[in-house]
Amino acid sequence: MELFDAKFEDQSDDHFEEYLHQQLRPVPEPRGFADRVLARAESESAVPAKVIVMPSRRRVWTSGAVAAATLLAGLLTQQVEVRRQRHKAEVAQQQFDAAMRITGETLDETRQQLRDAGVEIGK
Amino acid sequence: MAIETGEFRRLIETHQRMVFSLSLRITGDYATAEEVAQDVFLALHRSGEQLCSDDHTRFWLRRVTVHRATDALRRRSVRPESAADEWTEGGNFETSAGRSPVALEARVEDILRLLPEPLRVAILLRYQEDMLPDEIALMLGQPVATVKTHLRRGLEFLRRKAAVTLKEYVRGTI
Repeated sequence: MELFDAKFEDQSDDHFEEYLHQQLRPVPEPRGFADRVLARAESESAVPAKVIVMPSRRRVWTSGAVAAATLLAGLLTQQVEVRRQRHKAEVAQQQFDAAMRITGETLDETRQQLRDAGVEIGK
Repeated sequence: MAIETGEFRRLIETHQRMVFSLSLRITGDYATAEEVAQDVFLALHRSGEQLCSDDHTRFWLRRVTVHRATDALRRRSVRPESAADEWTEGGNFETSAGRSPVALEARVEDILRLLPEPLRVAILLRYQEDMLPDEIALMLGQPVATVKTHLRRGLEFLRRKAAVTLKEYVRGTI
């Protein structure tokens, strides 16, 4: 075994740096490393797929049919929504009318009571 | 798009030693180093990185290896073996319990593990990978002055520690 000159403090920087270069040469990788990496890469890449490949001519028609169905569904949904909103508005109007009527009746009653009590109020 | 298998194997076999060595010397742990090294290559595989040349590949691998290895080191909360007060500029490098036991062969990498992570990384990139300070700075995204400071301080520490350790070794065998 080679005894190394221990007096590093006496050595030049170049000498010590050369020593570092020698000592820090890359260490061997673990045995079978590449195979393990490839195996992991392969298992990551393997994705179970259920792909139905259709003949090309039929594919065109099918795409069109799907698009048309999607459009129709969209239109129907829109119509339903419009009707729903309209109904909501009608209900709200009825509630408002009822509230106004009640308020009006209550006010008339109150005025009458005040007149009966001898209090005149402006109309 | 993943790299084709044959090409991927070639890349692994070309660069595995560099990637593993960096991982090992940064993390200080064999099992962690292999895990990091595997992850680096898998990241390369998944990224579908457009690699123009082996130099480009090497640059990419070094950078990713350093980042992942330092992350692993921090996650493991591995502290340098020296106590914080031992790591001082121009300070006494004996431990509080006296001089540490001497291995039959004092290896630089044992001493390297005592360095704080930023200095350790700079020393490895310089002396294992033969990178110049400006190349290291570019790769790490640090100013060149910072890299040079890390190298200077790392070298000073290694020289002093190596001198102490090897003096004991010489005394023990003579």
